Amino acid sequence: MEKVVSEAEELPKAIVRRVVKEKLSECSPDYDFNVHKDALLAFSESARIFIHYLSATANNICKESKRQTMNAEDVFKALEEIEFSEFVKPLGASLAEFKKKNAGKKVDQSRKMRRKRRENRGFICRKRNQNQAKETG
Amino acid sequence: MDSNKQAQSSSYPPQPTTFSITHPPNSAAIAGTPPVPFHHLLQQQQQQLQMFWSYQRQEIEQVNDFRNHQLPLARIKKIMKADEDVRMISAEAPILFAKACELFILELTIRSWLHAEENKRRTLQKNDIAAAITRTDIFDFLVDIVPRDEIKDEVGLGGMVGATASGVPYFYPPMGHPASGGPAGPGGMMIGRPAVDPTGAMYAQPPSQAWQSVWQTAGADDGSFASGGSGGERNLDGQGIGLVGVFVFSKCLGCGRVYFKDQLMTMAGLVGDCSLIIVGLDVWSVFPILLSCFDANTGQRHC
Repeated sequence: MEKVVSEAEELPKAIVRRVVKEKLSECSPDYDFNVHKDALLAFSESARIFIHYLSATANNICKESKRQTMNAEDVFKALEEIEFSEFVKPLGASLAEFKKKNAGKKVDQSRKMRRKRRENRGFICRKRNQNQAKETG
Repeated sequence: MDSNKQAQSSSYPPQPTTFSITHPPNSAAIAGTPPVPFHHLLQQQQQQLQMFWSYQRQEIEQVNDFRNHQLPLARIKKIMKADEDVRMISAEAPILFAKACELFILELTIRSWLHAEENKRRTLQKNDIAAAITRTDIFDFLVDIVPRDEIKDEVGLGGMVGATASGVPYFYPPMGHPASGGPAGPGGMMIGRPAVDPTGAMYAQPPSQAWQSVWQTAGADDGSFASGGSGGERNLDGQGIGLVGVFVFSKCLGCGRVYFKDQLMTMAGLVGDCSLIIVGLDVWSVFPILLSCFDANTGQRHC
């Protein structure tokens, strides 16, 4: 039942460290809290296992719904199942925010793509004309 | 008289006298009349400055939010994919995982910090994390990750943080059952005092220093701890995984004697020879609040 997971991927230490230290300074604003190196590794590892745990649970839910692709709904249900339901609300808000931010991005990107395609077409046409000219000339 | 006045008016420059004519009713009058433009402007400016800075602060906080939400999505995806069962992932999933990870780390940090505080340390160590994992039901999946032997039984109970308000129930981590095996059996490692002797040390003194009231210091964590409490409840009924034999007790508000919850047999509260006056349940509706207690046989009040 235990899945052997490759040891390759770890979460970036700097980010984990930042999250931990910011919370610590919130917990005890009066004095500085330090984090032992080993402790940071333990945080990273724990977070990584959490991803696996949540991922596996969400995956099961997804399969049960006879779908191939794990989606947001599966993740939310999984959170409830592993008793992290207090995460659901902030995650929902975070996702909504992200979508809003990227809605603008997508429009820009598709505009860029269209422009590029136009330019490429223009280039190809010119090239073709040149070649034709060479042949006839 | 007139000559005096004239003498006065000639000695003073004309302007002050005109001022003194308009001024005398002083501040009251000024408030009544249309505000002196200068004061008004100053106020306005101050307000604007305040608004400006509070807006700046908000912006900074928002930017921080985005910066924190920076666990690399690709990395997360790779971690997820390491599990062969996981095939296709929608685009939204890694985003959710990134935020969930962050929240998870925050939870773990708070609880580890608690342990470090209890032991009067200002450096978070691995054993703090191990302790947090053991204490929290929902972290059971981590129990093998941070090895148990990392948990050190540290400073004696004497130095615990803060005398908590009497009557606040204490959550006492599992004792006994050292043979209960399995990685989840934390037998006596926590604040591992053998002082789970209800008859002995308990009655001697209010053990307010003995156990840190987890809920008090958890602060923003109240939600999760409440569920931890109910998790404890579950275990008391013999169900649930993880913590075994959780002892929870209530302290008598009158004399400070402590009574173990499992021993409180009825709402009337009979524990051996002692009768308890129970005034109700605490805010989590889990633990009885004891007003006073007395000897059931002699009828003599302890407090």
